[in-house]
Amino acid sequence: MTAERLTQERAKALIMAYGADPNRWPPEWREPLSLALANDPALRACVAVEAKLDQLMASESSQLPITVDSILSFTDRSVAPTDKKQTKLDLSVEPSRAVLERLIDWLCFSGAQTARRGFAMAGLSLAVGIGLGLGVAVPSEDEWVASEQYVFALVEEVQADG
Amino acid sequence: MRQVASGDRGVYATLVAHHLAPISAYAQRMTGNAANAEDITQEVFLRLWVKAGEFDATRARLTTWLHQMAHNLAIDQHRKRHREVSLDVIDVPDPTVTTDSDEQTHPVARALLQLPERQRSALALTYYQDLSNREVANIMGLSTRAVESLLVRARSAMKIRLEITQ
Repeated sequence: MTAERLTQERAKALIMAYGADPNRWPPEWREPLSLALANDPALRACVAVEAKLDQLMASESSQLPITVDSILSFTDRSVAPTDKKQTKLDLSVEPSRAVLERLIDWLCFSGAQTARRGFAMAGLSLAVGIGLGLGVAVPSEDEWVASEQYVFALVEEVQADG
Repeated sequence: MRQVASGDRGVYATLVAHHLAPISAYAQRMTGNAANAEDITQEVFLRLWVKAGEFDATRARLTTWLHQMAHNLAIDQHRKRHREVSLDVIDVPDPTVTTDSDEQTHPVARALLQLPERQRSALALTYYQDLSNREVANIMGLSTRAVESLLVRARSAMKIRLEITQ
């Protein structure tokens, strides 16, 4: 039981929040709500509507095709099971950073010295930079001249208008 | 949990087996996307393994703790997708939630995914995860009255979307 008085408005709000099934109502409200329902046709109408929603919601079941083994494998891959202290992860790390860290680990054959990780990081950055640089198209001299001529023509046009 | 904290993989596997279905179902209902839900589920159980020593049985049940982690991860994932959106409009229906296949999704699941994030969370935790209103309030960091208010709004929106009338 609860010390709060059950008004019709409060009873309606509770039914609309928790649905028609008394087992889902907060325990302290079950008895007062049942009593109110017995004497109030408007509340019974409210329960009837909520029962329809309950029934529809109960027909939906959500199951992921994920197994205990896959979770255990993921945990194994993420941490070394024999030494929990060694494997405390920074779980707030950004996914992209985590991927980069794993790539560096792979390049360093896991567990390499910090200096070697630094070289690997610098080398990887350099390779990415060169790769991106090769993909940039440099305009030919003729194209530069054409674009400059176009700009000068525009400037002259604006001056002439002014 | 002390055994898990000290590295007992057998106990860990038993706990995973016991809690996997509800946690993955909650993640699926929150994201509507199997890949994202799987990421959240894996992360929850990884945290269970790594942070088992931090669990305080006097403060919450294990299922509440796991649901809280799943809830926080789902919120983080949602906010990463909507960084540019102000948190003030978190109760606005989410049109960018992508489901795996709209045709194959149950109408209730579709209606649930169209709810604003907090309403969806309150309804999923209360109705499908069988948590008490106090546990849901703890997980969401709200009062029980605030959770009730979210539930009323969530169920009203569901009734409209599912065309339930008197």
